[in-house]
Amino acid sequence: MSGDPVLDVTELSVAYGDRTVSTIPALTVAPGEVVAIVGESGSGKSTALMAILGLLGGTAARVEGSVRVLGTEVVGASEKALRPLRGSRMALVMQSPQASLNPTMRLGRLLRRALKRHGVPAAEAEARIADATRAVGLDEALLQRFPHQVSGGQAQRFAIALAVCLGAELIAADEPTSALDATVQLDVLALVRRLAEERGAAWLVVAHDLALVSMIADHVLVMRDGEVVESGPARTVLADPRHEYTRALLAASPTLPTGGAR
Amino acid sequence: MSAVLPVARLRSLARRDVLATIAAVALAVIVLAALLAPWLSPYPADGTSATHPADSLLGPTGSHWMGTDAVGRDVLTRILYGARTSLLIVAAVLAISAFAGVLLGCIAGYAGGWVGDVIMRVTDVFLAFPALLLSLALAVILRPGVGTAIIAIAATWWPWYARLSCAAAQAVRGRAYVDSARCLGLPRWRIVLEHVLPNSLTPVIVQLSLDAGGVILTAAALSYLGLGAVEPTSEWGLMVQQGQESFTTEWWVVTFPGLAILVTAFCFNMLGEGLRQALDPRRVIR
Amino acid sequence: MTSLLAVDGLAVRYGHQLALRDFSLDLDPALGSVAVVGESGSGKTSLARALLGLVRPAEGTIAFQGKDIAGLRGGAAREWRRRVQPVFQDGQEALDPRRTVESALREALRVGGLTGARVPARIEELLASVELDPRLATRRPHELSGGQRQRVAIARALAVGPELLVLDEPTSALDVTVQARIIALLERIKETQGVQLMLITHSIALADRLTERTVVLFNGREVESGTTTEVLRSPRHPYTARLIASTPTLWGALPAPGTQPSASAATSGCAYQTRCPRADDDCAVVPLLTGLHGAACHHPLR
Repeated sequence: MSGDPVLDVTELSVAYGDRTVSTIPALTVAPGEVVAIVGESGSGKSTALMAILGLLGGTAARVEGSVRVLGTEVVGASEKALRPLRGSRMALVMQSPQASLNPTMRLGRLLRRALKRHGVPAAEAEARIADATRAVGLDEALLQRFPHQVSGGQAQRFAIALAVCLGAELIAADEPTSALDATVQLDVLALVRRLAEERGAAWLVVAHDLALVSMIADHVLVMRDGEVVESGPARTVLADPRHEYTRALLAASPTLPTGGAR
Repeated sequence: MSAVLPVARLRSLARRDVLATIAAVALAVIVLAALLAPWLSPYPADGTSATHPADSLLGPTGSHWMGTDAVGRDVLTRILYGARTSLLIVAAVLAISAFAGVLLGCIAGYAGGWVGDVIMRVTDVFLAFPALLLSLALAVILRPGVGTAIIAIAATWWPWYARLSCAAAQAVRGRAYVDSARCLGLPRWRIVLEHVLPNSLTPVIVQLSLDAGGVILTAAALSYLGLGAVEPTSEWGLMVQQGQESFTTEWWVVTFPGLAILVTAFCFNMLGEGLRQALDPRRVIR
Repeated sequence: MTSLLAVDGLAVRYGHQLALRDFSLDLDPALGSVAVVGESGSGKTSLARALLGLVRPAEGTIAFQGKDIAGLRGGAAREWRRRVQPVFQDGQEALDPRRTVESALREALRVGGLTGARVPARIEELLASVELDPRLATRRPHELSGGQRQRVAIARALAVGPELLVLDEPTSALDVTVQARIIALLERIKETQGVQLMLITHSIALADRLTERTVVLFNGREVESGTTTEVLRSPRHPYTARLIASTPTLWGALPAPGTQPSASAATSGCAYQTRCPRADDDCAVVPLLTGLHGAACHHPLR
């Protein structure tokens, strides 16, 4: 992958009082790259993601170190300084997006309003919507529906379409498939990979299943108890894990025994 | 009880919520004063039936700190004895309405179906009347007195507890631990009493202390209207009513019982607010 | 007839929605443990709740030792409850938040008729059987980890000496490393205590680990059933095949774009036809499921 990193994290640490809950020594995501943070509950992976997105401001958390998104420092930045980044340049895709969508608006209107708020002219907005829905494989007829009228997989595609529409260069995703049915999970993963390869989106994905991560990630960080225990190219980390915990995670990953019909 | 009122949690909150702590201490003093009224009062006989027409309407002095009323009774004594009446009404009303309301609410919430419908529709009928109006009607039908006041106020108060615990029980009913108890084959009454009820109590406990102030005010209003406590019983609302005509000249007859009502009701509300926050599981205490 | 539970023509309805229809299954201990595999909306949880007597069937019967559970009273009802115990998804939810581990187990033991001096020893035994430190007995659910809570829930179910455990997604709320240990525990319980499992899950891998027979549900209907090995190694229904192919595997391939299936099930005929690559005009008629390794499909894979 080439080009300046979209995301550049150095010596990030998040603490509550005197308890450090998450530290990341170094992490970069280049355009077109998918980086995954893997760990179990309490590993600090989601906290790290929140800190990187600048979402811990105004909470009891103390964030130190440096997080640069497209050249802008996020740590210590005011809400006002982060506003140009939010939505248009970096986006967050959540585990169950349906809960975060305004239930009184049709999906199409949600898209148009978001584009308008980011100053995109109406004519261009329609073109962008058509392009984004095609890119994520979402039937345009679904834009006439309300959030509760679509399936979990469709809602997740919509959330990603929203990020694409707004031209987000960094897309963060917190367990984007764990609330989805098995048969749509892989489609959404394929979409993540495709947007990275075809559109150069930089992805930072938080997940707990290494098998799932192996299917999409270029680079993996394994976290445990707030610390990164192993990191490197996905091939190296998953094929030849150095840390005992990574091996334990791999062994526990729910996969079928080999020799089956597949 | 430690899960309903986590002691350590309360202690740490006492340090933070100063107002609620002051209210709790003040209430403890008021309760104690009521209990010890016969010993604390300067003229214990005035609290019950004695009259001293010769000493009527004396202003506050060294021998009568809060003055005397129209028939010469010591106001301080009457207030101390009045606390007994008011607190008895509060305790009785809340005990009756919480017991009836919680039991009916839990049964309605857990059973659902037509049983729940019948209970909750009856509750709605009671709720449809303004509390004071229903109390007034009942007090008119029955003979005025402390007992009547208790029955009248309780009759308008229990539906709120039924509502509250019905909603809480409905939430608990869907929980897996209730399913798990059903799968053990426990009888329904056991499930309601041992699993549903204890887990539906928190909102009720909070509401009880928030309501205590309201009960005091309602009891005072009933007495004020001549439908609650009657002479020679000491009761704050009654005292205010008797002193109102001479308010401009003999202010002490009205002011001190009025203050007693105000302070007590306010303290119950502050304590209730504090409890609400203390028992809210979403509130994180570090 | 040795079946502990026999389900015949079961349908479960919520409001106007049929969550499960025409479902039959013999839970014969001799045939081993059974997995019911499906996604959300498949009707698998409705089946579990009906078996546990938590919802009333709209149609059909569930018979315990030959008698419909809807008509069981008194001792017979207690006997059914004692023999069939649930383990729910989340131990946090399945345990009364105000009770200690000890009190939760004591309650179950009392139902099983055990009171008095032998209770503490039995509680220790139960905790040992789920590999929990006896010192945790005084804790309340919120003072335990997710895995520990699930172990307590299992111990509580075992306390009454059940013959069938109905497990509703027993590991899906847990971290992956904890999942592995709970699965190992369930395997051990199955072998050492001779308990039959009825596993309700979305996970193919879990079904593979724990059961001998597998039933696949789609949109409230049984679409395939057979031995777990047959169903998972050589699936016949296109839906089962897709479900298996959807399990993430290390270095597994991602599906090609353009294969996004229509999300909604067909309202008449075979419900899977709108998503099925093999669908044709035949599929306008609801296919029947027959045979030992059967698939409710007009064009099965094998």
